This record gives sequence, structure tokens and C-alpha cells, in this order.
Amino acid sequence: MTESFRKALDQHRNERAQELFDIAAILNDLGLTPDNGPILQAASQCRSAYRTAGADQPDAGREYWGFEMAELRVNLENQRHLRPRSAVMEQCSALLSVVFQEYVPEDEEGVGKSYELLRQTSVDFQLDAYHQIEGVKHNLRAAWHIDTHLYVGTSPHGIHPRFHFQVGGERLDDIDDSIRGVLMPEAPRMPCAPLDAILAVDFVLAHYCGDQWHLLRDLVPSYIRLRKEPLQRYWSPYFRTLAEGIDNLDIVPGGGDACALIPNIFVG
Amino acid sequence: MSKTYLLIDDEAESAASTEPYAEAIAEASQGSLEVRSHRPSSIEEVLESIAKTKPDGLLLDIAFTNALMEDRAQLPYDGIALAQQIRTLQTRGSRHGTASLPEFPLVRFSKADVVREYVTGDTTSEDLFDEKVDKADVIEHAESVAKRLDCLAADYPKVSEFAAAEDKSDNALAQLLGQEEEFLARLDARTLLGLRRRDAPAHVLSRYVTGPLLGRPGPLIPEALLAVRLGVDLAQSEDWAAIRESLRSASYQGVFSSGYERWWMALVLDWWATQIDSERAPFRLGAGERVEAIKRKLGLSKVFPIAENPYSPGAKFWHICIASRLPVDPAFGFPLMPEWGQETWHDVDYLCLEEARRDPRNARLGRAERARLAKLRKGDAGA
Repeated sequence: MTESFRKALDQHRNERAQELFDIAAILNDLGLTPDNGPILQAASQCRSAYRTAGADQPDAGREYWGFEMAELRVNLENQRHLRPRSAVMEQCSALLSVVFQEYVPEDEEGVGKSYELLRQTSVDFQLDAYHQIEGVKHNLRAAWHIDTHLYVGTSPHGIHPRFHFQVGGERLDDIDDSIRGVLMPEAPRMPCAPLDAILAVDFVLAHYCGDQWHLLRDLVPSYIRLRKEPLQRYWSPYFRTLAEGIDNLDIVPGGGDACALIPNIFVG
Repeated sequence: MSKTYLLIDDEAESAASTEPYAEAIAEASQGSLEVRSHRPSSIEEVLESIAKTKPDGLLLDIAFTNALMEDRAQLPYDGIALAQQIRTLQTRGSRHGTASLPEFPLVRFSKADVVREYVTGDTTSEDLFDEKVDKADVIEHAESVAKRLDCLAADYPKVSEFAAAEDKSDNALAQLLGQEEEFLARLDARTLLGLRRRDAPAHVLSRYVTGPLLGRPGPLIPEALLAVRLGVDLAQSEDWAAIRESLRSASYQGVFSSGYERWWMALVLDWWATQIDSERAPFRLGAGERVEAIKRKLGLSKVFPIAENPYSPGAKFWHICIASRLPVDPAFGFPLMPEWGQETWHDVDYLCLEEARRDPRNARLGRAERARLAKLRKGDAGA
């Protein structure tokens, strides 16, 4: 790695850390989280030593960096149209966790350019509530996650889009015995654009804290600007790849890179 | 060469009142500090005496009720007014280059009951002092008090030099904090704003270091919190010194570091990732798992994890309860809203479960936390 390459990569990681510090400050100022510590710890990890993918992992030997935002509590607004209708969740907070890992690119030009460098971006969300039936209290939990499928084309089961959204998962283990009336198979794994920590927080605020999110949109320009970089870094090339893959199916029937993102994109 | 503190105290001429403090500090410092006492009379006389003594630091009592003017009248000022006058003279001196009073640390030095009478609830004098020492602490914890006084006196010239520099370059700032210049970019830019103020005199910058930077957990953490974040029971673990030694590269080496032991949290996480476990960050593990990993990787045996405690349940301890001082697992603890002076880059304060139960109307508990607490009080099992 040349000196200028190393510096560019360090700067990229410092900028990602500062983004996290900035969103931690905003969430703190607006009382959207009671403790922004998990974001601060994640920011502190951005410049930790590089790690190397193990021999049994994809891209064995390749270096990557990353951070983990563990169990950030987000104060939620009251939700509408809950099922079961008897669910009680006033003054509720949810837990949001993000693991983000990005490969070191081949050269300086590639620093922070695209979703293609994402080794892993996983987002876990958990929301607890309860309801009472005939005087007995029952815990309720909503959970979803966004995963990165690292092993392209290797699953013998249902398709695994590279980045997919899935409801349920291990977070429901604690209440598995008490689930009634709802069946949750593994599928579908909905393809989705990748989320880093900034976009994951924004996703949760936009969906679960609508009033506050609209206020942020209208009154806190620094928050809006904060989302621009990751949107352009990850979503723009992601959607461009999909659009080009679909548009060019007559030329590349296998879908090319688009098929790696969403395995349905091919014609022959 | 030993440093001299001047103790300005209305009981200074009654040797029995001030000598024990001076002796305790001098003895605990093993000769590196000398404390001389002075009984105040008129403010001009006190300032003249300070200028003549040229102390490296000042210990200032707040109440001067037992001192009299030459005409036997009560002093028309107290220690807080004197402190303000000294700070003004120091600032004017540094601006005009004719420092009748050079920059030196000012330490509030009073008994707890005097502080209660003069200061409690009134924060207007907080910024005047670099440190506040309860006289009783000098007798009970002489060594730690002496260390703080020593480092303040020793490092103040470095802060003065930094304050005098026109350009607060990253390099100068990094040196002040005992780090490589590159490291500064790893911190939240807000963290260092207080040190980048162009016209701030040395005592303002010094206060920023001892206050927001070292005085409250955030980018820098004290030893007790370091142990909590490693899951280690400090009192039981004989091998703690070996862990500290392994963590030497993460320790704070900047100004005042010899009296205020702190560790950079970012570097502690680096140490964990490179020396202990590259796959799982410490906050994902329970205390027992953290300690097992440390013992295995560092080859230690006498390290014991923080035990479970029904008053502060959980195992992934990360904070210390501000009331009980028990380790707190954030999943079970109660975060408090920030108080005045608490920055967004500081750690949030926590109450453990038991303290939250005892104080459910604490004004710093947010609505969601109160609702959570109410659910627990109704017998809900979950945190």
C-alpha cells in the first residue's frame, strides 16, 4: 500500500467516524436515544487495526475494517395499526444493532467508492411490547434484520439476494414458545439496498418515528446532508447496477453483477 | 526541584490549623511539593505576597471570616473574589506581556461545610478553579491529592506555552495531549474545540483539560471504568497490574496525566481487537467471557470477573452507576438525560436498577425510562 493510498483510506475511515459522531450528537440533542454510547463506540472502532478474512471465509486473506454499533436504544413514537390490536407499546424503545465491514480496495481510486467493497453490513432491529389476555400478561416482540449474503450462489435453499431484508430470525428465540397464530417461514428474503449505520438509523427513524423524522427533514439540514454521502456511496451504484443488468439482459442474459445482487435477474 | 504551593487561609497563623495539611501534602509528595501558608489581610497585600513568593500554585480557602484587616475590620472579600481577581490579573498579564501574576493553578481548598455554605448550588465560581480539594481529603487521601497538585504545578507551563501560541496547530495540540497528530482525527471534532479557542488564557484551557476532557468519562475513561469495561473485578484481581501494563499504549500521556490516570477508549478498543479478540468487541460479551479471553491471551490466572448482582443485573457491564457506583449493564440500567455541561461526546450517566427504583422521580429520567421503570415496578420481568 502506497503512502497516499494509506492516507486516503485513513481519511475515509476518519470521515466515516465523524459521520457517526455527528449522528450521535443529533440523536442525543433531540432525545431520540437515551444513550448514544453505542454510536460513539462504533465511531471509535473505525480506525482500529485492519482484520484479515479467515481461510474458511469468502475472500480469504483479504483485509477489511469495520465497526459494530451494539444495541442502540431508539425512543419510538406510538405505532398505529398494531397486530395484535391489544398490543401495548406506549413510551417504547427499540434496539438497533449494526455490523459494518468494508474491504480494503485494490487501489487508491477505489477508496469508499461502492457497495462492492461491503464485506458485511447487517442491521438488527428488535421492538418489545406486551398485551394482556384474560388478565395474563404476554410479551410481544417484533424483529427484523438486513443481512449480507457473502457466499454468492451457494445456497441450496431459497434465493439469497446479496443484501436482503428478513422478518423474524434469532431475536424471536426468547418468545418462540409463546408465539400463537402467526407463522413465520424463513422466506421471503426481500432484496434491499445496503444500509450502513447512518442509513440504518435513518431507516428506523423514518419508519418508526415519523413525526421526528419529518422535523429532522425540515429543520435539521445537517442531518439531511449526513445521509447524502452513504446514499451516493452505496445506493447509487447499487441501483445503477440493477438497472443496467435488467436493461442489458438481451446482451448479458445471465444478468452479470445484477444477478449477484438479486438472483432473479437473468433470462438464460 | 520541588514545587511550591501557597496556601491562603484565614487560619494560617494558627499553625495547628494549617500545618497538618501542609505536612500531609509535602510528605505524600515525597518532597516534590512544599506548602507555605499565608493569612490574608487586604487584597493588595495578598496579591503582593503572591507576586513575591512566585508560587507554582495556589491553595485557596473560600471563607476568610477569621482574618482581619489592619484596622481589625473583617475582610471585605472572600476566597472566591480573590480567585476572580487573580484570574483577571493573570489574563491581563498574559495579554500585555507584563505578567504581574503569571499563570499558575488555582485550587479551591476548603472544608465541605464551608463549601456547602458558600457555593453549593451556585456554579458561578466553578470555572475559577483548576481543582477542588476538600480539606478532609488531604488527611484521608493525601497521596492522590498530592499527585494532582504536583501535576497541575508541573504541567501548567506547558498549557501556558500552548495558550500563548498564535496558531493552535494540530501538532501542538497532539503534543499537549501526548498523542501522535494523526490520532486527533479519530476523535469527534467537537471534543477538541475547547482547546482550539484562539484567545483563551491558560487557565481556561487547563480547566477544559481537567474538566470536560479528564473529569467526565467519554473519549477518556478512568481506571474504575476501564476495569468495568474489561469485566474485571478490580478488588479481587491480583493480576490487574499486568493488564494495565499490557494496556500501556492506550493510556493518556498528555498534560496532567501523572495526577489524572486515564485511558483513551478508542485505543482500549484497538487493544482489545488486536490483543484479545478480533471478532467480538468487549461490549458484546459478558464479564465472564471478557475475563476468560483476557486470561487466555495474556497468560494470566488471577483475574476475576465482576460478579452478578441483583441490584444491578446483567453481565455486559459498561457503565458505573452514579449513585451506587455499581457496574451497570446498559440493558438493565437506566440512562439519565444529560445535565448542564455534559457534551454529546461524553458518556451518558446511568443509574443501576436498584437506584432507579429508589429514585423513580429523578428529574433526569426521561419519559421512556420512567415508563420502563413503572413497568418493572408492576412486576414485568423484562428490563
